[in-house]
Amino acid sequence: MAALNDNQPPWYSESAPRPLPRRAFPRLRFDPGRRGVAAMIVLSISAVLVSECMVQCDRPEPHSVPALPQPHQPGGTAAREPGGGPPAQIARTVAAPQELIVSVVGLVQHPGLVHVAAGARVTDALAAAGGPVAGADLLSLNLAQRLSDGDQILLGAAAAAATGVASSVNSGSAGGGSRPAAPSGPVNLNTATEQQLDALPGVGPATAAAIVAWRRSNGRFTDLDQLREIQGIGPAKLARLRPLVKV
Amino acid sequence: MTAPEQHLDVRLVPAVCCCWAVAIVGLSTSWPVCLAAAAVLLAVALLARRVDTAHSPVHVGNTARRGVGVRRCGVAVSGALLLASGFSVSVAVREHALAAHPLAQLGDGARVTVTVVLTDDPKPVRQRGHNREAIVTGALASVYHGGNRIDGGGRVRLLVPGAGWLGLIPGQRVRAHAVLGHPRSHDFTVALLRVTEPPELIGPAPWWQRVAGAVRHRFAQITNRALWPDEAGLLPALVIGDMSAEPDRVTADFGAAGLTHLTAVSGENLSIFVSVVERLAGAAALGRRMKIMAVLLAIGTFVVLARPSPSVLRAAVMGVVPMLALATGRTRQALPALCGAVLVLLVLFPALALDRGFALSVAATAGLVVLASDWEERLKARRWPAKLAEAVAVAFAAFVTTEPLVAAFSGRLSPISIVTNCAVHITIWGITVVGLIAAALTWVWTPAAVAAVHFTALPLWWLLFVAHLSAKLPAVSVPSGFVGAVVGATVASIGLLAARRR
Repeated sequence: MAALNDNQPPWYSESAPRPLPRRAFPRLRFDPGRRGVAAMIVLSISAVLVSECMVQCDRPEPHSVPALPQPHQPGGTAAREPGGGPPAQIARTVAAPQELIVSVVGLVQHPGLVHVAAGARVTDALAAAGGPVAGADLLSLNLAQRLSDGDQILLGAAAAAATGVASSVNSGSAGGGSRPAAPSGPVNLNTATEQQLDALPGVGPATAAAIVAWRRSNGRFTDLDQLREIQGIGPAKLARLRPLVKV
Repeated sequence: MTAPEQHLDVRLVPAVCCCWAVAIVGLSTSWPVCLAAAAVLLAVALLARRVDTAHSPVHVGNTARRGVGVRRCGVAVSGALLLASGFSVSVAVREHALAAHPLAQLGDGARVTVTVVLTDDPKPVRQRGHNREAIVTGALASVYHGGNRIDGGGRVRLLVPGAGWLGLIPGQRVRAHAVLGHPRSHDFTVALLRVTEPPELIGPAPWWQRVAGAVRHRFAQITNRALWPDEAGLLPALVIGDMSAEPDRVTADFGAAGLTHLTAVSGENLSIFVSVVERLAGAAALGRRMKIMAVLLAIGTFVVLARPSPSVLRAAVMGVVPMLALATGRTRQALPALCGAVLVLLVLFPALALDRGFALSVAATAGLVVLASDWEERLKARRWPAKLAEAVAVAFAAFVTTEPLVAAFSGRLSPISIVTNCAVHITIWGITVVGLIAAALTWVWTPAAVAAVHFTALPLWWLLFVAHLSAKLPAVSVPSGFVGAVVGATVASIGLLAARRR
């Protein structure tokens, strides 16, 4: 006997003899047959393909960029080729213009302003200035130190190293180079020593060590906002340090 | 001598169960385990095929009269296991991509700057003094760390302060400084980012999100004007899933009364909405094509209004697919349609396998499809009023299938939820329909919207009253987890047998 369904007219259910209710448990139809199994195989292969597609669409692409996007920055140079693997192994680019102007004064052949390539070191600047004259103190100088635009290299006398003028590299608009004193201008994050960083207000020895460690593992600072990545520097501290440091 | 409609088409059910189990195992463990499981499943499937062909050299297509035999089982099992094996490979692919993500290798505590596109509203989590913390999910656009940028790559969850974050809408692109953490839940999020300051907004959100946000905001304003505070917080939650104004007390009451499924955006809201639109289109004597267009437009509007988050989308699929099958009279295709929908959703979002809301909605819809129409007809055959029969059948079917899960998740067993669900069933339809009309009229003709909202005051009061009363009644508390599931299943099957005996 056919079961009641919605197409029956309303009076039917009222007057017709009531059919027996359906079986207590309906018959189950669970055999998909050969076609069903084939359909399931197709579905399972397409599941793998769909997953692969979705993973590829969402794949992370590492880049190395010149700087964090800021409105006042000049348009960044083109990003380098993305490397595979973890980001720590990707080469860094340098944001600064291709050429640096460095002041080399003291006991060199041709003291004055020299142009060196970006990423050059102290030894390159000394060579560009004609090299040190005899008696120049090279011991106090880190010849491998990288330069930034506007640095001054002062080459003093070796004999007077202990008491008089010793060689030093001062960054930016620091005052006279007669002593390797702390510069009175903003501290260059990339060249400052741990003591100079420690001397900043709000920065203690642990934070200074963290900054140096960041420098060692990640290369140069290219933007002040990268200080946020240092443990111990929050937004308030960064706001306080902003006029006191530079990159 | 049983007609074809008497059959319950469970051909896809073993496949769904196997795939779900595989997804749970795969999400909780790592990708080599998934690949091993895929190999094991494939081997067992091939063995089952061999059993099948060994027992019947000629495989005839099934008819309704074949009994259960070993070879039938073999085919069904092998099909299900083959599907589960492929599914396991797909889960392994995703798990591997997650494990190989650069963020996973950066380590805990790394400080990064992230650009994220929000995919959901920020949801308040807890209150710490004056600061409300919120949690929000987003799609990662880029990560800056140590002078490097990583573009794209997956979902993240952000733990954010309330200030500056609580008003944001999905689709908004933000940049924030965050501390990296391990993702705490197994749902394919790459990282849990802790943020302590307001975000920097990059560009406006897409226009459709802004429109939806404006409509929700205005609707909330109208209900605040027209209703008492408790009802005013409840109406947007019931109609479009906007739970931002729902008082905590009401949420707790609903949870205790077993009525939480009302406020979670579920297929029920959408199916009510769609059926109303369909009837209106039928009353306006639109052609079949225009009717389908109207229904699709209605679905699209609802999804945008209720926020196109993954939970709304899966609720939409859950609600629409079986409803369409039932409404077009193809009752025996409703269960395969549900199984197919679940399979497609699991393939696209395997993380749903561990989602409690998804499990509950699948269970409730399965109960509805398998049990409810049968029982409704039995009750009508006993001269019960049609609406009451429908209410009781639906509530009881949902109880039977979801109570084991609810007992396992929350450790509370409340048979009284059947009564509460029946008591409010009749009001839900009215509230949802009138509420949706009011939401639609919000920008068009505000006084009419306010008037419509006034009509919902009495049903809402009844709903709150029932919820509050049943929350006061003691419920049996069981240990949550597996034991709770067993106890809940026992209670449910006792109820099932008792119902069948009548």
